Amino acid sequence: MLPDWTFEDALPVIGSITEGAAWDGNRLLFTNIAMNRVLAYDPATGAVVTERTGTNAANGLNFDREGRLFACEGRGRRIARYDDGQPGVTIVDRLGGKRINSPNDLAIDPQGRIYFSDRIGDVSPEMGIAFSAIISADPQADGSYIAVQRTFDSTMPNGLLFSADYRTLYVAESDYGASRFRQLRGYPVNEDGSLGDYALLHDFGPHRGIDGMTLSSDGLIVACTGWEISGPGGMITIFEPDGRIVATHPTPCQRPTNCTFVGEDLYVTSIEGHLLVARDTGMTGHLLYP
Amino acid sequence: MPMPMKDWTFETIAQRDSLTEGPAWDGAGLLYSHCAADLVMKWDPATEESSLWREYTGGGNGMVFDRTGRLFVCEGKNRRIAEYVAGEPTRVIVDNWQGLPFNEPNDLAVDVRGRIWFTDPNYGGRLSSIPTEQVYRADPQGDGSYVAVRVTEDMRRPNGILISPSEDRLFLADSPNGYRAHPRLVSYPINGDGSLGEQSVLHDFGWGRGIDGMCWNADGDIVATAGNERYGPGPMIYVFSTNGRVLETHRTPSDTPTNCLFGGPSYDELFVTYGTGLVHRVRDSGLRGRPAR
Repeated sequence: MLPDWTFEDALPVIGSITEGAAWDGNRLLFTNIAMNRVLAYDPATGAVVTERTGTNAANGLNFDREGRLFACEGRGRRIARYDDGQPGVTIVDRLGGKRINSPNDLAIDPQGRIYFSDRIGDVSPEMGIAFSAIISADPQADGSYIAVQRTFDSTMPNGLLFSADYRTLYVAESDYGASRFRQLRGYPVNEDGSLGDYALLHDFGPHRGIDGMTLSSDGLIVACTGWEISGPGGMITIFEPDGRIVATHPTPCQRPTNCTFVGEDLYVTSIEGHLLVARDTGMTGHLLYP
Repeated sequence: MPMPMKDWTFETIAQRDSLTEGPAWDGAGLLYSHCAADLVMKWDPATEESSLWREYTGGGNGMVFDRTGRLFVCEGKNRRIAEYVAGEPTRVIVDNWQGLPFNEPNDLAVDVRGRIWFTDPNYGGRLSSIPTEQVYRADPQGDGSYVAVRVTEDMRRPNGILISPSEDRLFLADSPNGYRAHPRLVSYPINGDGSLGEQSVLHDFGWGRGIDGMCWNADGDIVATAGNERYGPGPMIYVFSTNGRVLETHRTPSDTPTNCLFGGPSYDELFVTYGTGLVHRVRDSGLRGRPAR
C-alpha cells in the first residue's frame, strides 16, 4: 500500500463545522455553517478573511463554468448566488410552489443546471415539501431557474458529484437512522436531465458514510467518510467509478465534511472546524471552474 | 496516475474444470480442493505440476493445518469435519450437532487449544439438516473425540472464518448470495469460555458478492477474496485492517475468487483459488503471511 497522507492544519481549528470548500483560482472559499459566514483562505500567504456574513447557514459551495458562485443556504432554505459585494440572490427556494427543506450540497453541469441535495429533517418541514430529494435548478432563457425533482428514492442525501463525462451523478445517501442507508450511489443522467435507476457503488453498513466529495482528474471519487463512533474512523476514501476502493487515508479530524483540490494539495473541512491540507497527493482535481 | 497500489501479477499454476478452494501450504507444496470432483490436489513448486493427493473427499472444501501440522477439512457433501493423514483413512472429527448432521461445512480455523471453529452454510438447494446456517466450535475431549457447540445465532450464511492472532476476536464472512443481500465482513469478541460477544459489522458489500475465503498476513491484516463480474466493482482481493479499513484492493484476472493463502519458502507467495477452477500465485504482492506452525 501507499503511505498514508500527512495532513496539516492550514488554519487553527475554528471549533464549529466547516464545509463547502471551493477553489476560485486564487483563494479557497469555505463555509463556517454555524457562524453564517464564508471564509476565504489564500494558500500563497496563509491569510484568511471573512468573505461574506449572514449566509443563513450556507453549507455546500460551488462555481458554475462562468465562475459564478452558488451556495446551499440550509436555514435560508434556498440556493443562492453570491456575487461579489452583493447580497445573495435567490436561485430557487420552492419546488412546485412549496418551500424546499434544507439544501446541503450541490453539483453544477456545463449547461448550468444546479443539482442539489435537499433534506427534510434538518429544518421544520412546515409549509415545505414532504420529502428529501435531489432537485435540479434548471436555468431558463430569461435568467430565472426552475426546480425539478430528480430523485424519488432519497431519504437523507448529502454530497453529490458529476462524473467527468456528466453522464453519472454520484450521490451520497447518508441517513443515520439504524434501518436507513449510508451509500454511494451512481445515477445515470439522461439527456433531459432526469436520472435513471441508481447503481449501488458502495455501502458503508452501520458506519458514517460520505459527506462531501470531489472528482480527481483521473475520474476518481475522493470522498470524506467515517467517524469516531464506529468503523475505521474519519478518512478520505478514494473510489473508482465502479465503486472499487483504491485508497483510504485516515484524517486527523474525526468527521471530515468536504474536500477539494488546489493543485496536488487536497483541502479538507470537518465537523470540528478544520481546514486541513494533504500536500503533494499526486492527484489533481477535475473542476468545472476555474 | 498516483494510483495507489501497484498491480499484482497473477500466474496460473493450476487449472481444474470447476471450483477450487481450500488452499493449505504443507511446508513444501500447496494442497487445494477440487470440490465437485471430491479431490485434494497437491501442487509442487519444484515441478510446477499438480498431482492427486487424496480422493473421495466428500465435497472437501476449506482445509487448514493446525500448529502441530494436523490437517482438518470441511467435507461439505459429507456434512462433517474430517482429519486427513496421508495414507490413512479419513478420521471424522465431528459430524453432528445435538444429533443433527451439519448442512455443508465450508471453512474452518483452529485455535491454540486445538478447538476447530467452522462455518456451516447450506448451498446448492440441499435440504437443510439444521434449519439455520451458523458457526460451530468443535472442542477436543480428553479421549481424543470432539464435541460441537454452536457459537452464533445471528449469521445468515457464514463462509470464510479467521481467529485473530491473539485469539480474542473471530472474523467471519457473512455472505448470503441472494438479491441485494448485503453480504458483510463481521467480527465477534471471543469470551474466555469460548462463547462469542456481540457482532460488529466491519464492511458491507452492498449488492455485490461478499467474502468467500480469507487469510491473515504477517501485519495482522485480513486478505480476502470477494466479488464477481455480475455486480459491483468485480472480483477482487481485498486487504482489510481489523477495524474494517480497506487498505488495498486488487482486481483478479479470473472470476469469483474463492480463497487465498500465503505459502512458499518465505510465505510471501499468495495462492488464490477460483470458482472458475484456476489456481493463481502472486509473488509480487509485497505482503507476506506466516506459517501455520
